[in-house]
Amino acid sequence: MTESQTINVRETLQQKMRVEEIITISGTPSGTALGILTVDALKSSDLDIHLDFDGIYSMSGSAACAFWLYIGTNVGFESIGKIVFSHLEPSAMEALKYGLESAKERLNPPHKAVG
Amino acid sequence: MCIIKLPRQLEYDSLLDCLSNNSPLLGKENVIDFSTVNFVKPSGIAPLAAIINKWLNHGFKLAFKRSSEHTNSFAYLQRIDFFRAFDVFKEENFLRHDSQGNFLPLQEITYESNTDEIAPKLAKTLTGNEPAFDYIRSELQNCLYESMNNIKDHAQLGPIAGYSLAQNFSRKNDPTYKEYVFTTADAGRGILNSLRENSDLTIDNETHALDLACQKSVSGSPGIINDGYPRNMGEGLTSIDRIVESTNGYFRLISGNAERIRCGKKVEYRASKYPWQGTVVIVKLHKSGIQGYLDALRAGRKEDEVRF
Repeated sequence: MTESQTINVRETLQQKMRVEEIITISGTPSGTALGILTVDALKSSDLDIHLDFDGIYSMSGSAACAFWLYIGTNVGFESIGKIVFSHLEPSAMEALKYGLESAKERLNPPHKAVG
Repeated sequence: MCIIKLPRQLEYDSLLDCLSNNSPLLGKENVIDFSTVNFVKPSGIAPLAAIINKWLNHGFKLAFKRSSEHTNSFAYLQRIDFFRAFDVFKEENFLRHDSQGNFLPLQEITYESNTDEIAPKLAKTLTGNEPAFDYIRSELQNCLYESMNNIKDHAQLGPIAGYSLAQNFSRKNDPTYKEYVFTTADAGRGILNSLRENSDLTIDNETHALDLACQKSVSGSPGIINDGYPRNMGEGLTSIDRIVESTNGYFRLISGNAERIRCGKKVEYRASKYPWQGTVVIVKLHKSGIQGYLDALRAGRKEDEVRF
């Protein structure tokens, strides 16, 4: 088993976003906030970053895209292999897969733009 | 005097049929006649509110007429605050029951609206009585949030408002059946103009604009910041389209002369019978479809830990 640094996503986002309870990661702001936390952790340590999604029921495609976009912009997509997700609900995993594709397209858009 | 007699079944298509034959007249009294309406759907209510708001802002004189008899549809329109939005028919001859998580009254979205609060409330209404639906709540919430933020952005350019409504439906003879519906409507600049004004994209027509709006990584407003974070990724319509496809639901996007309709896996584009200046989003999801989607995802799940 690889040594890693663990972030409890639900509790950390609650503190960061200053809300009582986070059970879904819906909007771009919370996806970006999670990206910031992860990038800070990646930059501060050589260890794998373990994102524990315990208590998070779902994540939107926008939040996932914002999360990956922040990572891709700040540390590059080559770093994503150092991020381990656990307790990930299947629908959140789908959103993360989809969000990663979208974030990669946004950083290298073949034909699209901001609108 | 111009009388706009609303259809007996008030939903999007019948409303547009009615409006295509009846336009209000400037400088005259115009009557919006609810007297024969006996059934209303969210897909008719939010667009009607948006168009009435637009007429009022354009200086049309409007009066509202109701049936002399009590009807359930009229009481429903009162209960969901449709009439309150226009400051009419405020006297109610019923006790306001708790919505019990089955609906949220009509929400008006203006430039000042706090969409951070409204979108979660609507999404919670849609999923509130079904804990399993927490697993798709984020997509519903985000679609509502981004649709409302689009309305806000358009409202910044002029005195327009959009409206949003969420409602759950059950069937008495089938306790397992549940349908979740939300509609968002505005009479703003529409998707084609929005994309043309904010991007370098070459957009052939409104059908092409709707296609682009449902693709990933096309739209978004990363330059707009809320509390230090970018506000919109612009994946709201794309994500809800993905959920609707996976859950065998229904998603209709209307703007200008074009419509995009997803029904399960099938997508159809068509010219609107009557154009809608602005944007209308109609989404229907079924409990069985959502449960099937979640079951399929869980059945395919293998790893406890995931790397991408």
